[in-house]
Amino acid sequence: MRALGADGLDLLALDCRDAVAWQARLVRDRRRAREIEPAEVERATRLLLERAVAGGAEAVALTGSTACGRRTSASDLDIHVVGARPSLDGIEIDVDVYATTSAVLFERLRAGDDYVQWTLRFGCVLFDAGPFRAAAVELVASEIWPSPERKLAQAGRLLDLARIVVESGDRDAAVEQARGAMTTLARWLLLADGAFPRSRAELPAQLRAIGADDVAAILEDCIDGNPSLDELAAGLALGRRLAAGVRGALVRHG
Amino acid sequence: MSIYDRALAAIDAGDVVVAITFLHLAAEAAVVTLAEREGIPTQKSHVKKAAAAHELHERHLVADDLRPVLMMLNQARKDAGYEGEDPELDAQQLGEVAGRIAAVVSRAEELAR
Repeated sequence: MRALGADGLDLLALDCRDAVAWQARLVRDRRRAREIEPAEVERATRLLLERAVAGGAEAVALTGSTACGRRTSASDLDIHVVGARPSLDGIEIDVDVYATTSAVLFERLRAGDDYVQWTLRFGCVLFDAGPFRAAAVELVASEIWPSPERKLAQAGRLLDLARIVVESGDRDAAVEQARGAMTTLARWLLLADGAFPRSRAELPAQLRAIGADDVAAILEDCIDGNPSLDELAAGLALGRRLAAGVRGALVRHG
Repeated sequence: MSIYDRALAAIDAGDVVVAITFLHLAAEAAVVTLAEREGIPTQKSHVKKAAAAHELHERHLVADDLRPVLMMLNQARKDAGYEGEDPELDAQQLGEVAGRIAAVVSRAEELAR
């Protein structure tokens, strides 16, 4: 069994070097998905894959915590589709489908989108009529690094939204919104430090490795803790200060 | 101000992302209140809350089946929040969604009193 490099780019280069190697990755990824998915998640994945392909999708991948075998109680099933969004009818677990056209896939790759790169580096590619391999070849050749600025803008939007959801007093919704915002903030911090962010459950360890212990603690609390609204508000305030650059020293350079 | 009223205020203010977020919150909270009384599980899951909305309609406890509304709002809030995509819903459409969930919100508020 080959070991996965820290940023996944080394294996991606091997996988996309020719059509035979790419096909071997698909076989390996499909097997890995079957091995790591709990039964109800596997059923949902299979249904969505069938529907996506029947709907003319050019590529489908399993991404996120499920693809890493690191699902938590808060994990959605994340599916990346190049093509039309498949119907979610009859799916009994929370699913997040990221669906784009092939043109948008390449546009986002070139604009420094980290999710597209995540799919190529760490996702389980379940079906590919061409766009994922072509994107992988382009990524390996160009070594495009995901844009921290793009992630920071995303984090800013989510932190603002999370703040007003916390203020609404709906605690469950506030935890979910804060988790999304702090995850995005964590991804920004890591990208800015030159580390490629892995799945959500792996982010706290990655954050501690770059000295962002307080963000790691808040994120952990949002993933499997029981934070109060006051604690969420405090965590988000820290996030906003970081995003505004007031406490940029948390990011260790060199 | 209730969560539903915050959604209406956001529609009036033209803040589409906040409006979508709070319409989703208001509709889900109302469905959970009604579902809990009926013993319908929701388990902090968006898809189960949407299924509960359908079940409430099947049992003739609410006039409208809000499952497609909940699914649409859930996807719209993710697209807007994470992807920064401009929501395809305009103020008039948001007003129509608010109208559809109003009865369920009122029913849940009555029960909560």
